[in-house]
Amino acid sequence: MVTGLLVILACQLAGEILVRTTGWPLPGPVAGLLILLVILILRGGVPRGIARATRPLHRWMPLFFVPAGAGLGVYATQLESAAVGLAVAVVISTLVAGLVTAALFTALADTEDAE
Amino acid sequence: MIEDMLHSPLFALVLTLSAYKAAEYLSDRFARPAWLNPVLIAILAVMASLWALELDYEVYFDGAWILHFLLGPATVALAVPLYREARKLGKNAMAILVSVIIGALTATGLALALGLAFGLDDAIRASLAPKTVTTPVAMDLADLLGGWPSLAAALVILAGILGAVALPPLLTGLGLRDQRAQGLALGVASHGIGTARALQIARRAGAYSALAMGSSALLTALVLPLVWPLVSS
Repeated sequence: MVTGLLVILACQLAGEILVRTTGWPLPGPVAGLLILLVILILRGGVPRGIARATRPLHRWMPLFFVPAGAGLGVYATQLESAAVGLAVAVVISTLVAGLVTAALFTALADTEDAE
Repeated sequence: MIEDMLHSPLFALVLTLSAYKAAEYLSDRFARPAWLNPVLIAILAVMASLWALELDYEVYFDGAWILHFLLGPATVALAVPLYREARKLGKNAMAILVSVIIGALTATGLALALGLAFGLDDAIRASLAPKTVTTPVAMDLADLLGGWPSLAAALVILAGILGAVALPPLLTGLGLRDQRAQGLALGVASHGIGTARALQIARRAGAYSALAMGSSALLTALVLPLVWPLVSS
Protein backbone atom coordinates (compact mmCIF):
# COMPACT_ATOMS: atom_id res chain seq x y z
CA MET A 1 0.00 0.00 0.00
CA VAL A 2 2.78 2.45 0.94
CA THR A 3 4.85 1.28 -2.04
CA GLY A 4 1.84 1.77 -4.31
CA LEU A 5 1.19 5.24 -2.93
CA LEU A 6 4.88 6.07 -3.37
CA VAL A 7 4.75 5.03 -7.04
CA ILE A 8 1.59 7.09 -7.61
CA LEU A 9 3.06 10.20 -5.92
CA ALA A 10 6.35 9.74 -7.77
CA CYS A 11 4.44 9.60 -11.07
CA GLN A 12 2.63 12.81 -10.13
CA LEU A 13 5.93 14.49 -9.24
CA ALA A 14 7.52 13.32 -12.50
CA GLY A 15 4.46 14.63 -14.36
CA GLU A 16 4.73 18.04 -12.65
CA ILE A 17 8.43 18.24 -13.54
CA LEU A 18 7.74 17.17 -17.12
CA VAL A 19 5.05 19.80 -17.78
CA ARG A 20 7.01 22.55 -16.02
CA THR A 21 10.22 21.92 -17.93
CA THR A 22 8.52 21.54 -21.32
CA GLY A 23 5.91 24.29 -20.80
CA TRP A 24 3.30 21.90 -22.20
CA PRO A 25 -0.15 23.16 -21.11
CA LEU A 26 -1.11 19.91 -19.42
CA PRO A 27 -1.74 19.55 -15.67
CA GLY A 28 0.87 17.58 -13.72
CA PRO A 29 -1.59 14.90 -12.51
CA VAL A 30 -2.70 14.14 -16.09
CA ALA A 31 0.94 13.85 -17.16
CA GLY A 32 1.44 11.60 -14.10
CA LEU A 33 -1.52 9.47 -15.24
CA LEU A 34 0.15 9.01 -18.62
CA ILE A 35 3.47 8.07 -16.95
CA LEU A 36 1.79 5.50 -14.68
CA LEU A 37 -0.07 4.14 -17.71
CA VAL A 38 3.23 3.63 -19.54
CA ILE A 39 4.66 1.84 -16.47
CA LEU A 40 1.62 -0.49 -16.32
CA ILE A 41 1.87 -1.23 -20.04
CA LEU A 42 5.61 -1.97 -19.76
CA ARG A 43 5.01 -4.25 -16.75
CA GLY A 44 2.07 -5.91 -18.48
CA GLY A 45 -0.12 -5.80 -15.36
CA VAL A 46 -1.12 -3.86 -12.24
CA PRO A 47 1.22 -4.55 -9.26
CA ARG A 48 -0.74 -5.42 -6.13
CA GLY A 49 0.59 -2.45 -4.14
CA ILE A 50 -0.64 0.03 -6.76
CA ALA A 51 -4.04 -1.68 -6.94
CA ARG A 52 -4.32 -1.47 -3.13
CA ALA A 53 -3.40 2.23 -3.02
CA THR A 54 -5.81 2.99 -5.86
CA ARG A 55 -8.91 1.56 -4.19
CA PRO A 56 -9.28 4.08 -1.30
CA LEU A 57 -8.29 6.99 -3.56
CA HIS A 58 -11.19 6.19 -5.88
CA ARG A 59 -13.59 5.19 -3.13
CA TRP A 60 -13.17 8.66 -1.59
CA MET A 61 -12.62 10.72 -4.73
CA PRO A 62 -15.98 12.56 -4.42
CA LEU A 63 -14.89 13.75 -0.95
CA PHE A 64 -11.79 15.40 -2.42
CA PHE A 65 -13.96 17.77 -4.47
CA VAL A 66 -15.74 19.25 -1.44
CA PRO A 67 -13.15 21.89 -0.33
CA ALA A 68 -12.91 23.45 -3.83
CA GLY A 69 -16.66 23.04 -4.38
CA ALA A 70 -17.52 25.05 -1.28
CA GLY A 71 -15.82 28.02 -2.99
CA LEU A 72 -18.86 28.37 -5.23
CA GLY A 73 -20.39 30.66 -2.63
CA VAL A 74 -17.52 33.15 -2.92
CA TYR A 75 -18.32 33.95 -6.56
CA ALA A 76 -22.09 34.06 -6.22
CA THR A 77 -22.15 37.77 -5.35
CA GLN A 78 -19.34 38.85 -7.71
CA LEU A 79 -20.99 37.42 -10.80
CA GLU A 80 -24.59 38.49 -10.51
CA SER A 81 -24.81 40.14 -13.94
CA ALA A 82 -23.21 37.16 -15.71
CA ALA A 83 -25.03 34.52 -13.65
CA VAL A 84 -27.87 33.77 -16.08
CA GLY A 85 -25.59 33.49 -19.11
CA LEU A 86 -23.12 31.35 -17.20
CA ALA A 87 -25.82 29.06 -15.87
CA VAL A 88 -27.44 28.56 -19.29
CA ALA A 89 -24.05 27.98 -20.97
CA VAL A 90 -22.96 25.45 -18.34
CA VAL A 91 -26.25 23.54 -18.35
CA ILE A 92 -26.71 23.35 -22.13
CA SER A 93 -23.09 22.68 -23.13
CA THR A 94 -22.62 20.03 -20.43
CA LEU A 95 -25.81 18.08 -21.14
CA VAL A 96 -25.58 18.35 -24.94
CA ALA A 97 -21.91 17.24 -24.88
CA GLY A 98 -22.83 14.20 -22.77
CA LEU A 99 -25.73 13.34 -25.06
CA VAL A 100 -23.64 13.69 -28.23
CA THR A 101 -20.90 11.49 -26.76
CA ALA A 102 -23.25 8.72 -25.60
CA ALA A 103 -25.35 8.79 -28.80
CA LEU A 104 -22.31 8.70 -31.09
CA PHE A 105 -20.72 5.81 -29.20
CA THR A 106 -23.99 3.86 -29.17
CA ALA A 107 -24.34 4.39 -32.92
CA LEU A 108 -20.76 3.41 -33.73
CA ALA A 109 -19.89 0.66 -31.22
CA ASP A 110 -20.50 -3.04 -31.25
CA THR A 111 -23.68 -3.76 -29.35
CA GLU A 112 -22.87 -7.43 -28.72
CA ASP A 113 -21.08 -6.99 -25.43
CA ALA A 114 -23.19 -4.11 -24.13
CA GLU A 115 -24.19 -4.34 -20.43
CA MET B 1 -9.81 30.15 22.07
CA ILE B 2 -12.86 28.78 20.26
CA GLU B 3 -12.03 31.13 17.40
CA ASP B 4 -8.58 29.48 17.10
CA MET B 5 -10.16 26.04 16.97
CA LEU B 6 -12.57 27.10 14.21
CA HIS B 7 -9.60 28.31 12.16
CA SER B 8 -7.59 25.11 12.57
CA PRO B 9 -7.15 22.39 9.91
CA LEU B 10 -8.60 20.00 12.49
CA PHE B 11 -11.94 21.81 12.38
CA ALA B 12 -11.90 22.10 8.58
CA LEU B 13 -11.27 18.35 8.24
CA VAL B 14 -13.90 17.37 10.83
CA LEU B 15 -16.42 19.69 9.14
CA THR B 16 -15.70 18.32 5.65
CA LEU B 17 -15.67 14.65 6.66
CA SER B 18 -18.83 14.92 8.75
CA ALA B 19 -20.62 16.84 5.99
CA TYR B 20 -19.62 14.12 3.53
CA LYS B 21 -20.56 11.21 5.81
CA ALA B 22 -23.91 12.86 6.59
CA ALA B 23 -24.50 13.40 2.86
CA GLU B 24 -23.65 9.76 2.12
CA TYR B 25 -25.92 8.57 4.90
CA LEU B 26 -28.75 10.73 3.57
CA SER B 27 -28.15 9.50 0.02
CA ASP B 28 -28.09 5.84 1.13
CA ARG B 29 -31.26 6.29 3.14
CA PHE B 30 -33.17 7.38 0.07
CA ALA B 31 -31.64 4.61 -2.08
CA ARG B 32 -29.21 7.01 -3.80
CA PRO B 33 -31.38 9.02 -6.17
CA ALA B 34 -29.26 11.04 -8.63
CA TRP B 35 -30.35 14.44 -7.31
CA LEU B 36 -29.16 13.57 -3.79
CA ASN B 37 -25.56 13.58 -5.01
CA PRO B 38 -23.32 13.29 -1.91
CA VAL B 39 -20.84 15.84 -3.32
CA LEU B 40 -23.59 18.39 -3.86
CA ILE B 41 -25.12 17.89 -0.39
CA ALA B 42 -21.70 17.95 1.31
CA ILE B 43 -20.71 21.16 -0.50
CA LEU B 44 -23.98 22.87 0.44
CA ALA B 45 -23.58 21.70 4.06
CA VAL B 46 -20.02 23.09 4.25
CA MET B 47 -21.13 26.39 2.66
CA ALA B 48 -24.02 26.67 5.11
CA SER B 49 -21.73 25.90 8.07
CA LEU B 50 -19.17 28.51 7.01
CA TRP B 51 -21.95 31.06 6.64
CA ALA B 52 -23.53 30.22 10.00
CA LEU B 53 -20.16 30.35 11.83
CA GLU B 54 -19.08 33.48 9.89
CA LEU B 55 -15.90 31.74 8.77
CA ASP B 56 -13.76 32.87 5.86
CA TYR B 57 -13.71 30.44 2.91
CA GLU B 58 -9.95 30.98 2.45
CA VAL B 59 -9.28 29.94 6.05
CA TYR B 60 -11.46 26.84 5.64
CA PHE B 61 -9.77 25.90 2.35
CA ASP B 62 -6.27 26.23 3.88
CA GLY B 63 -7.38 23.78 6.57
CA ALA B 64 -9.07 21.29 4.23
CA TRP B 65 -6.28 21.59 1.65
CA ILE B 66 -4.95 18.06 2.21
CA LEU B 67 -8.25 16.60 0.90
CA HIS B 68 -8.05 18.84 -2.18
CA PHE B 69 -4.43 17.70 -2.65
CA LEU B 70 -5.51 14.04 -2.79
CA LEU B 71 -7.31 14.82 -6.08
CA GLY B 72 -3.84 14.74 -7.68
CA PRO B 73 -2.89 11.15 -6.74
CA ALA B 74 -6.52 10.07 -7.34
CA THR B 75 -6.21 11.44 -10.90
CA VAL B 76 -2.86 9.71 -11.43
CA ALA B 77 -4.35 6.44 -10.14
CA LEU B 78 -7.05 6.61 -12.83
CA ALA B 79 -4.35 4.97 -14.96
CA VAL B 80 -5.26 1.69 -13.19
CA PRO B 81 -8.91 1.31 -14.34
CA LEU B 82 -7.87 2.93 -17.63
CA TYR B 83 -5.17 0.29 -18.21
CA ARG B 84 -7.45 -2.58 -17.22
CA GLU B 85 -10.18 -1.39 -19.60
CA ALA B 86 -7.87 -0.27 -22.41
CA ARG B 87 -6.74 -3.90 -22.85
CA LYS B 88 -10.33 -4.82 -23.72
CA LEU B 89 -11.12 -1.86 -25.98
CA GLY B 90 -9.84 -3.34 -29.24
CA LYS B 91 -12.58 -3.29 -31.81
CA ASN B 92 -14.42 -0.30 -30.31
CA ALA B 93 -11.36 1.98 -30.17
CA MET B 94 -12.51 4.00 -33.18
CA ALA B 95 -16.04 4.46 -31.79
CA ILE B 96 -14.58 5.68 -28.49
CA LEU B 97 -12.11 8.04 -30.14
CA VAL B 98 -14.72 9.61 -32.45
CA SER B 99 -17.38 10.04 -29.75
CA VAL B 100 -14.91 11.53 -27.23
CA ILE B 101 -13.38 13.97 -29.75
CA ILE B 102 -16.76 15.19 -31.05
CA GLY B 103 -18.17 15.28 -27.50
CA ALA B 104 -15.25 17.34 -26.14
CA LEU B 105 -15.39 19.77 -29.08
CA THR B 106 -19.17 20.13 -28.56
CA ALA B 107 -18.69 20.92 -24.85
CA THR B 108 -16.09 23.63 -25.42
CA GLY B 109 -17.58 24.99 -28.65
CA LEU B 110 -21.09 25.35 -27.18
CA ALA B 111 -19.73 27.00 -24.03
CA LEU B 112 -17.82 29.54 -26.15
CA ALA B 113 -20.79 30.19 -28.46
CA LEU B 114 -23.32 30.59 -25.63
CA GLY B 115 -20.90 32.84 -23.73
CA LEU B 116 -20.70 35.10 -26.80
CA ALA B 117 -24.49 35.00 -27.28
CA PHE B 118 -25.00 36.18 -23.70
CA GLY B 119 -22.38 38.93 -24.09
CA LEU B 120 -20.09 37.63 -21.35
CA ASP B 121 -16.71 39.37 -21.26
CA ASP B 122 -13.44 37.69 -22.23
CA ALA B 123 -12.23 36.94 -18.69
CA ILE B 124 -15.49 35.20 -17.81
CA ARG B 125 -15.61 33.25 -21.08
CA ALA B 126 -11.96 32.21 -20.61
CA SER B 127 -13.00 30.76 -17.25
CA LEU B 128 -16.11 29.14 -18.76
CA ALA B 129 -14.59 27.52 -21.87
CA PRO B 130 -12.58 24.77 -20.06
CA LYS B 131 -15.42 23.90 -17.66
CA THR B 132 -15.83 20.27 -18.78
CA VAL B 133 -12.11 19.61 -18.20
CA THR B 134 -10.72 18.17 -14.98
CA THR B 135 -10.18 20.93 -12.35
CA PRO B 136 -6.36 21.38 -12.40
CA VAL B 137 -6.29 21.48 -16.23
CA ALA B 138 -9.20 23.91 -16.37
CA MET B 139 -7.51 26.27 -13.88
CA ASP B 140 -4.28 26.21 -15.90
CA LEU B 141 -6.18 26.79 -19.14
CA ALA B 142 -8.21 29.69 -17.70
CA ASP B 143 -4.98 31.28 -16.47
CA LEU B 144 -3.37 30.85 -19.88
CA LEU B 145 -6.34 32.50 -21.65
CA GLY B 146 -6.57 35.44 -19.25
CA GLY B 147 -9.48 34.16 -17.17
CA TRP B 148 -9.83 33.56 -13.42
CA PRO B 149 -8.61 30.12 -12.30
CA SER B 150 -10.84 30.24 -9.22
CA LEU B 151 -14.00 30.89 -11.26
CA ALA B 152 -12.94 28.14 -13.67
CA ALA B 153 -12.68 25.73 -10.72
CA ALA B 154 -16.15 26.71 -9.53
CA LEU B 155 -17.69 26.24 -13.00
CA VAL B 156 -15.88 22.92 -13.48
CA ILE B 157 -17.43 21.65 -10.27
CA LEU B 158 -20.84 23.01 -11.30
CA ALA B 159 -20.62 21.17 -14.64
CA GLY B 160 -19.37 18.09 -12.78
CA ILE B 161 -22.25 18.02 -10.32
CA LEU B 162 -24.81 18.82 -13.02
CA GLY B 163 -23.62 16.02 -15.29
CA ALA B 164 -23.27 13.53 -12.43
CA VAL B 165 -26.80 14.32 -11.22
CA ALA B 166 -28.62 14.73 -14.55
CA LEU B 167 -26.80 12.69 -17.18
CA PRO B 168 -27.40 9.09 -15.99
CA PRO B 169 -31.22 9.48 -15.72
CA LEU B 170 -31.34 11.63 -18.89
CA LEU B 171 -29.39 9.10 -20.95
CA THR B 172 -31.31 6.15 -19.52
CA GLY B 173 -34.57 7.95 -20.25
CA LEU B 174 -33.51 8.42 -23.87
CA GLY B 175 -32.69 4.73 -24.23
CA LEU B 176 -28.89 5.19 -24.07
CA ARG B 177 -28.44 2.51 -21.40
CA ASP B 178 -25.04 1.09 -22.40
CA GLN B 179 -22.74 1.45 -19.36
CA ARG B 180 -19.82 2.20 -21.66
CA ALA B 181 -21.71 5.04 -23.41
CA GLN B 182 -22.81 6.50 -20.05
CA GLY B 183 -19.23 6.30 -18.75
CA LEU B 184 -17.86 8.11 -21.81
CA ALA B 185 -20.56 10.82 -21.56
CA LEU B 186 -19.84 11.36 -17.84
CA GLY B 187 -16.10 11.59 -18.48
CA VAL B 188 -16.45 14.07 -21.35
CA ALA B 189 -19.10 16.28 -19.73
CA SER B 190 -18.27 15.98 -16.02
CA HIS B 191 -14.57 14.98 -15.64
CA GLY B 192 -13.65 13.67 -12.17
CA ILE B 193 -17.06 14.15 -10.53
CA GLY B 194 -18.63 12.31 -13.47
CA THR B 195 -16.01 9.58 -13.19
CA ALA B 196 -16.72 9.19 -9.48
CA ARG B 197 -20.42 8.81 -10.40
CA ALA B 198 -19.56 6.37 -13.20
CA LEU B 199 -17.55 4.23 -10.76
CA GLN B 200 -20.77 3.92 -8.72
CA ILE B 201 -22.62 2.63 -11.79
CA ALA B 202 -19.98 0.00 -12.59
CA ARG B 203 -16.20 -0.36 -12.60
CA ARG B 204 -16.43 -0.60 -16.39
CA ALA B 205 -18.33 2.69 -16.68
CA GLY B 206 -15.67 4.22 -14.43
CA ALA B 207 -12.89 3.02 -16.71
CA TYR B 208 -14.60 4.40 -19.82
CA SER B 209 -15.24 7.64 -17.94
CA ALA B 210 -11.56 7.88 -16.94
CA LEU B 211 -10.57 7.23 -20.53
CA ALA B 212 -12.93 9.95 -21.78
CA MET B 213 -11.88 12.39 -19.04
CA GLY B 214 -8.17 11.93 -19.75
CA SER B 215 -8.39 12.10 -23.51
CA SER B 216 -10.88 14.99 -23.61
CA ALA B 217 -8.71 16.98 -21.14
CA LEU B 218 -5.69 16.37 -23.34
CA LEU B 219 -7.60 17.32 -26.51
CA THR B 220 -9.06 20.48 -24.95
CA ALA B 221 -5.67 21.52 -23.57
CA LEU B 222 -4.16 21.15 -27.03
CA VAL B 223 -6.99 22.77 -29.05
CA LEU B 224 -8.51 25.52 -26.87
CA PRO B 225 -5.40 27.79 -26.66
CA LEU B 226 -5.18 27.70 -30.47
CA VAL B 227 -8.87 28.55 -31.04
CA TRP B 228 -9.12 31.19 -28.31
CA PRO B 229 -7.53 34.13 -30.27
CA LEU B 230 -10.25 33.70 -32.94
CA VAL B 231 -13.15 34.06 -30.48
CA SER B 232 -11.84 36.71 -28.04
CA SER B 233 -11.76 40.44 -28.58
